[in-house]
Amino acid sequence: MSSKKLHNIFLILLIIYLMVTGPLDIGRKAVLLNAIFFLPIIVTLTITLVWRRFGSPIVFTLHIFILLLVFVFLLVSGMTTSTTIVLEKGKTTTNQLLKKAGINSLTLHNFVVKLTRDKRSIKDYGSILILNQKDTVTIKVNKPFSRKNLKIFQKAYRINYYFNLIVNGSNNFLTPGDSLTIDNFKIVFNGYDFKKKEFVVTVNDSIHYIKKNRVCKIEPFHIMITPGFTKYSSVLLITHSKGKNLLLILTMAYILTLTIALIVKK
Amino acid sequence: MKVEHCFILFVCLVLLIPAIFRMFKKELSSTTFKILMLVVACSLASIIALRIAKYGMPILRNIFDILIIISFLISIGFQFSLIRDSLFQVIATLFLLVLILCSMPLSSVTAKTKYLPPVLKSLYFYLHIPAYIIAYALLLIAFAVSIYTYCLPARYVQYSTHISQLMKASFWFMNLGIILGALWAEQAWGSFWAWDIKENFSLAILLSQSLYFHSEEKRKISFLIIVLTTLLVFINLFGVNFVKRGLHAY
Repeated sequence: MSSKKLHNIFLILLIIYLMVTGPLDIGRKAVLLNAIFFLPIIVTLTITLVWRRFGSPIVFTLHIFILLLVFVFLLVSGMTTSTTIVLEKGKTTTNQLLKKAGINSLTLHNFVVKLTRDKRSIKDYGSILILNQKDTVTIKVNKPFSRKNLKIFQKAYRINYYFNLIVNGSNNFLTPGDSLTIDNFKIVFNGYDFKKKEFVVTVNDSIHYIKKNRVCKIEPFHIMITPGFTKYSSVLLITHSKGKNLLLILTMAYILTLTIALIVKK
Repeated sequence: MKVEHCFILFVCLVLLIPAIFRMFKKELSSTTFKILMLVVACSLASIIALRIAKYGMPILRNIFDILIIISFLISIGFQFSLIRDSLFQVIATLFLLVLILCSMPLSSVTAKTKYLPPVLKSLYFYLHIPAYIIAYALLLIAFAVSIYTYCLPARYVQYSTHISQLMKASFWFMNLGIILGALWAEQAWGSFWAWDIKENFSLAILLSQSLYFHSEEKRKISFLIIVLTTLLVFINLFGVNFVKRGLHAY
């Protein structure tokens, strides 16, 4: 079988692979599987290029660019590291990726949400960040911040509902999952049970159901739960990658060569 | 009945004229065909204008609008077609009829709000989607021409260059669409490629188109590849909205 035929068979296999992995949503996780399916095409294409030197010089160049593009893309993807962080207003964080770009602390100064005129949906949202306790930067969806090889993206946002857990008269603002310890008693606020329409509280591993705005006696406490407030937290994606500029240059070169290849008849 | 439906029904009736003429063994002159296509294009443009007035700009995020814009471009393409044969007129109009009828039940699928979600607020939105729309329209015109040449093999030699040129143009826009999409994804989601269903099928379409260029000289195989590519386009258009909702569902 000629290498060109083999290359076409691999192309068909790759189409089938893409059709299967798309709906099953496994492509993102199966990096190795993707590489296995892409590698035979790269290998057969390289063999064909070296061995047969098919097509006109421009078609030949185009295939070299495709090879380079796929290779650099796989390389850049492999070298990219990313992490997602969730920050509440006023909170500070740091991690290794940030430190690589000389950012030792990242503080969410404010999370800004703009609503549409009908107040029914979110028009725009973004975070005002303070880097190293001095530089202020604003990021939005589609407008990331970049420094060196680091990028900070506004990925999403979360709405945290705080409830006031009044224990023996003292206020405690908690979100579902939060806990507090009073006199060696561990009180865990588990959230709201929509079936029972009651709040769930665990006191030293024993589960209790408490109605909204009603005082419940759980020895030695009197507990009441009232609605508190909502607070937005910003979900940020931090990526550190090398070679993105090379990938962009290659993409430009590819599209230019493709244009010439499609215009030139032979 | 919605105003859009009235326009669609009118377009469907107009598109049936070449088939009716052929049934009665009468030829439709090329000028009449062009006028028919102009009427279709104007009606489809009216639907687009109506939707803009009703739901506000931009309309590119809705499957119905996209199908209507693709149909509009195809009708413009058929108007400039150099093939003056009644069989082609029938194939072209029936193909357009099927496409428009497919879009009809989707007119109620509209965005909940006329405001764009923050992730779609980008210049890429106005470049990436039109690039795909043009690529799909060109591919579907190539599909109609290839059906015609498949029905009349003697005409293949005459019109194979037309198919090839349409496929080349479609391939270029498809490449542009994918590249712009990757750049946008990097800006919005932090990675060029997310292996999303829509991305995968777009790449499958691109590879399928490249397969066409690898077997262009073989008539039957190249026809089969165009059919496969068209099938992939339809899966890509409808699949994401009705089968599996991925990152591209808004």
